[in-house]
Amino acid sequence: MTFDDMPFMMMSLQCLYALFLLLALFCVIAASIRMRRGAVSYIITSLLILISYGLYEIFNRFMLIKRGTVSTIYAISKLHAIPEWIWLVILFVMTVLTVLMAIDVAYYGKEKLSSNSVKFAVDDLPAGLCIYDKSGRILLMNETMARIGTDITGEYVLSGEQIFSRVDEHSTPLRLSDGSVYTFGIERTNVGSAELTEIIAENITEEYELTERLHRIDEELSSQQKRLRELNVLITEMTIQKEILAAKTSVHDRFGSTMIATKRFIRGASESSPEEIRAIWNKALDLLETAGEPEQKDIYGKVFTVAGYVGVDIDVKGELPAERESGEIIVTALIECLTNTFRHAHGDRILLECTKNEGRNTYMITNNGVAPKTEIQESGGLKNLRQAAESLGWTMEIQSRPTFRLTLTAPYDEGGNL
Amino acid sequence: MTYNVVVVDDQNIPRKLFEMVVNSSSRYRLMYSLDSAAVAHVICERFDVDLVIMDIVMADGSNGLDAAKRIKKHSPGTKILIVTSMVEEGYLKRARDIGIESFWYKETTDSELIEIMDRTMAGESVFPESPPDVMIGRILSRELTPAETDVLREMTTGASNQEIADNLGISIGTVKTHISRILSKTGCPNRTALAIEARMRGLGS
Repeated sequence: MTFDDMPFMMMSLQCLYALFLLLALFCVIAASIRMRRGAVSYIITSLLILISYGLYEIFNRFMLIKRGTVSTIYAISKLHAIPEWIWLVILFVMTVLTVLMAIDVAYYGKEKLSSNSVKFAVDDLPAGLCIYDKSGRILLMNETMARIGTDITGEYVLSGEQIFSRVDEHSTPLRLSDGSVYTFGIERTNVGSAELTEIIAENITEEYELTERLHRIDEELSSQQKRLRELNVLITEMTIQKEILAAKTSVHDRFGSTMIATKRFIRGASESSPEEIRAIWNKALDLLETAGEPEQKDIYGKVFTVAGYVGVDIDVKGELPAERESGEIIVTALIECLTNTFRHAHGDRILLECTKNEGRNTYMITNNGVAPKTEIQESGGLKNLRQAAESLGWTMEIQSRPTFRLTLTAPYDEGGNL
Repeated sequence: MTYNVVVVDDQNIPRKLFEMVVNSSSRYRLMYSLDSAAVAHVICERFDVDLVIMDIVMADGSNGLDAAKRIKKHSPGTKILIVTSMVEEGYLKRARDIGIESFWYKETTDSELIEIMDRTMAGESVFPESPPDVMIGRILSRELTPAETDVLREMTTGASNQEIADNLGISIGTVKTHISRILSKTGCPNRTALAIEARMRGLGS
């Protein structure tokens, strides 16, 4: 059967099917071109043009035959003799081509990114993303960032600079009106000649809440630790007071014993001599006298006293710090220099010069005697002294040559306080 | 033979009592009486001191054990007798580690003290067999393991878990485990209550 012999209905259906395939192929090709499937698209398009032309000729021929004007087109006059199976093959080829193209487009669309797929993907991100150029023009912004931007700026975001103006580069977290907390990262990159700024907002609500909770626990713990340290001081003081009380009780007991011994002596029941009774009373009175003496409160007293014991004079020029913490540093330094003076230098004199200038208090300690033979290594007492001094913000310098010199420098405020 | 003695106590009356004890024996001669442990080593380095009788806790912040360590370093021949009213396991352990010869209670009679001084100078080491037992929560202090006692002692200073771990050279996880066990044993509701309880009972540094 030839084309001319084909029944009208079948011919019409075939032509309509061919038209449908043509439209489908155009759609698929359009999608392919949009996906930049250049080579494939061009080949398919060329084939399609050829097939379309063939179809047009068939359709035209069909119409001309039906109108009875077939003789008007000589160039295609012989087409009517083409067997029907050829047209069916053409239709089949078109069907296969359409299906293959559709599969190709679907597969390519899944595997490869297009600008839309990027947009769809970033919209699904829990993080906010905004990329804009130097002028502030937004190139890419996902829905999360659009929501965050509107929340933190109070207006619809049209420029990347709007968001940038509300966040800082130190990732300070911002709490949104819905209670969620975001931290912002800003990065600047060059793509070709374009300077792009990328702002990424990350949801750290859970971490932030946990950190806040941890911070509160830490504060509470620090406060408890501080109170415990205070309690320790109190308990140490309490222990000292207990010892004093025990000592006073002992004085009381000794007086009691003295009284009993005296009573027995007066009654003639004692074997003690008057000298022994007198010695007991002298001891008791001596103890009583001691109990009335004030306790040593001068922080410098102990070092001056012991220096006197070991035969070293300490001369002080200037004003010693009155504040206890600073005073203890000076006392520790003097003790170190005291041992150094008689142990290594074999000297008998220490000079402590206290000066105040340029916002600093300087305490310089030197001694007479033999200079150190080698560089002084900081260990033991000197090491501890440095730790104590530096913990108060002081500096410490040790000079070994030509003579030993220990310099401590303490900053003080305008009021002169350390 | 007469032994040279240095007495170190920051409180006048106890110091005087020690002086009296020393002076009461012809075997001992009081060289110096100091009111701070911070300067004790200076005297020991400068003079031939045979025995130092010293308290631990001083009001000026100095500490008899620290002073003893320094004395032992520079004057190893000097014997040391620590006399304190705070007889605690931690102090006893540290005193032994330092090499202190003797350690005794402050609340003792003159004759007992002289006897301990004599035994010390004779080369004997005199220590209490164990510190007095104290109740911590619902248990006696001896029911804690040595490691738990160490952690508890650190807790009484107000140290954080990290500080305790650093000071004892153990992991922070181990510290937490010990604290959890101590809380369970003592029945104390929390670590602060536990630390206060322990400190008030005399278990502390």
